[in-house]
Amino acid sequence: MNRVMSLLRQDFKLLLRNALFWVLTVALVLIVVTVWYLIPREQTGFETRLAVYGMEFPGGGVEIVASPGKVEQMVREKGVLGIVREDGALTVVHDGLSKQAVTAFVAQIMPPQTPLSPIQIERLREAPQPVPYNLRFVPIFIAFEAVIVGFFMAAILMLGERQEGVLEAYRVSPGGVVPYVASKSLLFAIVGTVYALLMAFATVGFVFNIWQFIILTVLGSLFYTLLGMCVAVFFEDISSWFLAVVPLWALNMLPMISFSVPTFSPPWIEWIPSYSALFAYDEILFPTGKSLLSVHSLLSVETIAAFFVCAALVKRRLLSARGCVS
Amino acid sequence: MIKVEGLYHDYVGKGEYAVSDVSFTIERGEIFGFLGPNGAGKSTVQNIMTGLLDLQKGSVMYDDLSVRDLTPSFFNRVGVSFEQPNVYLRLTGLENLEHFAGLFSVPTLDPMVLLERMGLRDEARKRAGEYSKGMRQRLTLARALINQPDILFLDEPTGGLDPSAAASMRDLILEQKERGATVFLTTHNMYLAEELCDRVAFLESGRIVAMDSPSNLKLKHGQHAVSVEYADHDGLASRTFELDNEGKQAFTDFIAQVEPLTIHSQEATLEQIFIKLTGRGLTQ
Repeated sequence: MNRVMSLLRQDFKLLLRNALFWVLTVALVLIVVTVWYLIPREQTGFETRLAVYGMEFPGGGVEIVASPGKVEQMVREKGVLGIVREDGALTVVHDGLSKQAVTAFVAQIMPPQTPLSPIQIERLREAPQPVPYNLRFVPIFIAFEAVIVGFFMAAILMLGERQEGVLEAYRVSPGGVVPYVASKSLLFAIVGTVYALLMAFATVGFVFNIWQFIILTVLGSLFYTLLGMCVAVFFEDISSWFLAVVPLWALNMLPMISFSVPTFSPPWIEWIPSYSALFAYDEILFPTGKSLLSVHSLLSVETIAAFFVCAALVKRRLLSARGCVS
Repeated sequence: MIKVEGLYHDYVGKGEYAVSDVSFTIERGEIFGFLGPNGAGKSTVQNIMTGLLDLQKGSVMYDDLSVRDLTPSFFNRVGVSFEQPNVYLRLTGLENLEHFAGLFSVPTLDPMVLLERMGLRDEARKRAGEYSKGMRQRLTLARALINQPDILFLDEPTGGLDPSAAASMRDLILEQKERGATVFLTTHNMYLAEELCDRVAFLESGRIVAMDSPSNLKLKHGQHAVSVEYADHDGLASRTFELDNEGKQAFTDFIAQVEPLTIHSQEATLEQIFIKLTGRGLTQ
């Protein structure tokens, strides 16, 4: 434990003296400013999202058009959803949405008293309070900024140590592999959690399940720190490492599309760890009553597995006889 | 005791050995010098002995423990100073030592006392990145000494040091021997080796070409003669006498006849012996 604490202190000092840490601090301020002052609380300039023919339809964003052909034209050109009522039949005109998405959409928009409504709606939970538009982005910022701090910073510290040659000195000390991996993981679990909490407090406030938030962030930060180290051990310097992690970074951000456009949800995207983390943050900050036990359990298993893989890779590629001396 | 036997190392795996059939033993409390020019394989041997390089062929034993079986706790007894100073450049000198001290499970020296001993007290709170090469070298040595090691590996410890700092370093190494530490000293500095080492091995192209105490090597390979400088009618003159029976008598007679200005024994330096044995100098 003494070794881990010594390594932790040293990594913390190195982190504070790294310019990127201060970049992250500035980023935190910018994110908070963006959420509060640059993104509106309500969506303004609400554009037409629904073209309707043959029926009255209440609500904003609806354009009643003169013919079914006009509906089709608007769907094609503006990407809106169209509803055509003709001869007692209701037709939904869309540009490639899934059947489930169309059904859900229709179920949501049709007033219950509409005699044409073919769908019975049963609500399993109370409808949640609408989330202000600007706060919808907070889970994205947390999942793709705060939680992945360790992915980058641990790798940067590790590659810095490699370039300075201090890993050779560490190798001939009683330090060992496990304290080395544990200290960096622990440091960025703490840093990631503090970062995420500050972001959440400064934007959403204090009314959310803080313990669930902390558990998710600690697990997520541990996992991404370990993942970052697993990747970094294959590189000699920061430049070559950075080129390689950009595609990984992009892949990790794909779930953001599913979050913004729920209809984009292919099964493979759920395997990306940030997917479950992102939706879990959304659930914690804006609860709808879903259980997060499965997310926490899966992330725990992934983190434990990542720790063993990372320790093995660090031992083999970084602190082994062959890995240390170039 | 450290026993190295039949050590070979091939970096590229094509049978081009950087180190070939190197064998020696080092007794407890001994300062063993490993001398050779740059590229002779000195650091390769040290790196194999400390486990930084794979042991490909041969054996390295610390008493009954093979280098292959070293565990992290073994390094509680070991200190290593590298040829290239490798310290955390963003940490201060003091922080560097405090950090490494925290890794040991044996009592460690006070980092500040050690820095003072190295002449770095005033720079203790400066980042190592602001140190000169010589200062970083001293910091690297301080780090190697923090756990008061039983076995100390020193790779070119006086490299980049000014004469005064180098002299202080020599004293420090002798203190380690007095303390009972075994020292493996890798250097191409013959004066350092001559002053410090109980035994030296000459390494050339990865092979040991000679191994003995410095005095024995000098006796074995040097010239047994004395040279006398004296004043004569034409100014300064000199004459050399072999130290065999005839030469000794001639020398005694000659000294009685002239006013000698200097008398020097003609023993060879380690550098001269190395050149004699290998055809090249230690600093080449």
